[in-house]
Amino acid sequence: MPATARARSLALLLGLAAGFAGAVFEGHRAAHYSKPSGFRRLHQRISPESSFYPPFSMLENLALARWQPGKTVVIIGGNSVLEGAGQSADHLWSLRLQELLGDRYVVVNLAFSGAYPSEGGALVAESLLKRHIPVLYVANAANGPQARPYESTYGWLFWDARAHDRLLFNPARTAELDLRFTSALPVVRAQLRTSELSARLNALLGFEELWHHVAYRHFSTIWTFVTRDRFWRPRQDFPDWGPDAPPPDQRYRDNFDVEMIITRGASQTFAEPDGQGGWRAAAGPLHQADIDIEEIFPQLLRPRMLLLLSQSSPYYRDRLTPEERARDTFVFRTYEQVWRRHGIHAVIAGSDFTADDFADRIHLAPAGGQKLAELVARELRQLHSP
Amino acid sequence: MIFTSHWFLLFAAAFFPVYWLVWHPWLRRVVLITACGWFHWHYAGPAGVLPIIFLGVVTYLVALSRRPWWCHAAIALNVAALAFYKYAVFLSADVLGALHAGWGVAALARVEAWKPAAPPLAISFFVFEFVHYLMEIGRGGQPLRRPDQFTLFAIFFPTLVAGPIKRYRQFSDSLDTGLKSVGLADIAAGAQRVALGFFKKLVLADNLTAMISTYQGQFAALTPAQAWLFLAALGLRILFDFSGYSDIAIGLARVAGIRIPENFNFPYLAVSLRDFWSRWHISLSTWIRDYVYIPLGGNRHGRGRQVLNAIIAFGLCGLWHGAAWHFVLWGLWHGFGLVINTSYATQFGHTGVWLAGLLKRWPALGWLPTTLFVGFGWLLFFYEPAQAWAMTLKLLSFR
Repeated sequence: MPATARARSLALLLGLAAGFAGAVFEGHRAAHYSKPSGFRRLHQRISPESSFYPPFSMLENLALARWQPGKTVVIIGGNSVLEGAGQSADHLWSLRLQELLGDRYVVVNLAFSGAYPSEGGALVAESLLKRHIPVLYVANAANGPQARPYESTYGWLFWDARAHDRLLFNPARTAELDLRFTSALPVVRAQLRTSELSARLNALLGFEELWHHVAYRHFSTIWTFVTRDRFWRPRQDFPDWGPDAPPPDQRYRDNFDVEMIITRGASQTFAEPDGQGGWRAAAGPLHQADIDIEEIFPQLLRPRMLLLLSQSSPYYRDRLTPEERARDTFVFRTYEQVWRRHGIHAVIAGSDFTADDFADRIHLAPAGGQKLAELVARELRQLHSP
Repeated sequence: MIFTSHWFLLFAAAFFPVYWLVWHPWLRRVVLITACGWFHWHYAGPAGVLPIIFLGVVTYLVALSRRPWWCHAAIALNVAALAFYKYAVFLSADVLGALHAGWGVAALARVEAWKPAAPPLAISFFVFEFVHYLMEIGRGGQPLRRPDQFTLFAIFFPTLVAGPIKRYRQFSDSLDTGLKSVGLADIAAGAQRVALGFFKKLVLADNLTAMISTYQGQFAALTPAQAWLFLAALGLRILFDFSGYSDIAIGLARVAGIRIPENFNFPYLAVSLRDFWSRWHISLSTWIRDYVYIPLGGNRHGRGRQVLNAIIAFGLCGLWHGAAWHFVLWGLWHGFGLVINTSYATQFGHTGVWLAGLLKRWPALGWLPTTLFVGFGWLLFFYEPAQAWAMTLKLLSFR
C-alpha cells in the first residue's frame, strides 16, 4: 500500500477512535448536567410520546439542580393525571403545590403519561434517598395489582438507574428479578437480558446521555408525527403546548359508553357480593396487589410516599347504580388500606371534586388541579414537616 | 435489526481486535469460525442452528462426491426445507385452501402440528447459497474440500442475516486473501462503509418508516402531492433500509479484509427495467438469472418460452421475499414488465422500433416510466392487492 494511502487510512481510523472516545467523554459529562430548561413537566415533546426517551440521569438532574441543603424534594410520579393533562403549563397543579408548600420544598413533576407509581419518579426518589437528600414521593395508582418498573413502557429508566447503581437496596425486588432471569419464559428472559445489557453498555459509554443532550440542545435526528414540521430542531425549541381543559359545556362529549365501562371497571373485578348485601374484596387481585407493593417499593421509600387513588369524574360516577357506587366506595377504601398496610400513606383523590373540576373522566381541569394541590399539600405536611 | 443491537456491538468490539491482532492466517480463520458460530448460535438458538447444520453437512458431503444426481437430490432437500419452514403455511392455507377449503384446513392443521413457531434464522439465504454451491458443483465446479472453508462460506456472520448472497469461489478466494493480508486500508474502507450503512438505516430508512407508518392509515385523505410523496417515501425507505443493511454487511466483511459482492448500484437511476434489475439486489437478481431463468431455458427456446421463463423466475423472486400473494404479484409485475421491456422493440411494430430508437438516442427518457413502474410495484410489495389497487387509483386520479 502506498505511504500516502496508509497515512490516510491511519488518520481516518485514529480520527474515528478519537471521535468515539470524545463522544464517550461527552456522554459521561452530559450525565452530570444535561436536563431540560424551564422545566415544568415531561410534556409530549420531551417524552416517549414523541420518541424522546430521557435517560435516568436527565430526570435526576432536574431534581438535583433545584435542590439545596435544608430543602425537601417532592418528586411527583404516576401517570397523566399527575403529569397535568387538562392543565396548561401555566395552570399546572404542581406549580400550585409548590406555592402551597413554600420554599422549603422543591416540587419536581416527573409523571409520565400512562406510567405506574413504580416508574420514573419513584426511581429518582430512590436515587435521591441514596444520596441522603430528603425526599417525598407522590404518585397515583389504579386499584388492583401493580406493574413492576422493568416490565412496562418506561422500563428503560429502571434498567438505566440499576446499571448506574442508583437504586436503593430492595431484597424483595432483587429476588423477584433473579427469579425472572432464571425461570421466566425464554422470550421474557431474552428481553430482560437485552434490556440489562443495553443499560450496562450505556452506563459504560454514555451514548443515551449524549444523544438526548444533543437532541434536546442542538438537533434531533428522529422524525415523529408530533414534531413533524421541524423534526430536526432541538427539542428545547418545542414548548409545552398542553392545553387547558375546554369550557365545562364542551367536556364529556365523546365515548360515553366506553368511559362508563372504564368507570365501572375501577371496582368491578376487585370486589364481589358478600351474600349479606355488602361487598368483599376479590381475593386474587388483593393478594397480588399485596405481593406487588411489597416487591416494588423499598422499605426506605415507603414512609416518604403519598399514594393517590384517583377517582373518576362524578359526571360518570353519579350515573352508576347505587349498588355500583357502593362497590366503588368499598374498593377504593379497601385498596387505600392495602397501601397503608405496607407503610405507604394512601388517600382517595377526587371523590369530593365536582364534574367541572375534571377535564374528562379522569384528568383534572385547572380548577381540579388547584384542589388536588391543596389535598396533596395537606397530606404531605402531615407526612413530613421539614 | 441485528447489526444495531447492543449485543452485536459488543460482539464486534470483542471480535475485530482479536482478529486483527492474531498474526497467522490459520489462527485468524479459527477466530473467524468461532465468532461466526457464536453469532449464529446467539441469534438463531438451537432450533435455528440445528436444521442449518443438517443442511450444511449434507450439502458439503454431497458436493465432495461431485455426482450431479446427488447434487440435484441435495438441492431438492434444501428447497424442500425452505418450503417447509417458510412456505408451508402459505402453501396449505393460501394455495391449497384456494383450491379446496377443506384441504387447506386439513393441511394447515398438519403443518401447524409439525412446524416450529419461526423458521430458522436466514434460511432463505442459507438455501440460496447452498443451491448455488450445489448447482456449480453439479456443473463441474471444484468443491470446497476443507470443512473450515465451507463452514465460513455458510455462516460468515456479516452476510448471514440479509446477504448479499455470496458465490463460493469468489468468497473463498477473497477469504484467503483477507485472512492473509487484512490491513489498515481495508479497515478504514470497511469502517466508512459501515458508517454509511448505519446512516442509511438509522437516519434515513427508520425515519421514512415512521412517516410511512403514520400516514399509510390515512392515505385516502392525503392530498395528491402528499400521496405522491408517500409513494416516493415508500421507494426510498426500502432502498435505504436494504442497501444500508448491505453496506453494513459489505463494510464489516471489508473490515476483516474480505470483499463480498455489491448488492445495489444506484437503482433509482435506472433508465429501463432491465437496467433496474442490474442495479437492485444484484446478488439476488443474478442468482435468479443463473439458477432459475437460465436452467429453465432462458431465451434459448423461442419467444413464448422466454416469456414463460421470465414470469416463473420473477414469480419465484417475489415469493422469496415473503410467503404471501402480494409478493408473488409484485414478482409477476416485474416479470411482465421485463418481458415488455425486452421485447417492445421487435413486437410493437413501427411504434416499438421508433420508441427503441428514441430511448437509444436519449436513454434518460426511460427514467421516468421506469421509476413509476418500480414505484407502483412497491405498493404491491407492501400492501394487499386490494389496498395497493386503491392507492394506485388515488395516485393516478390526482385527487
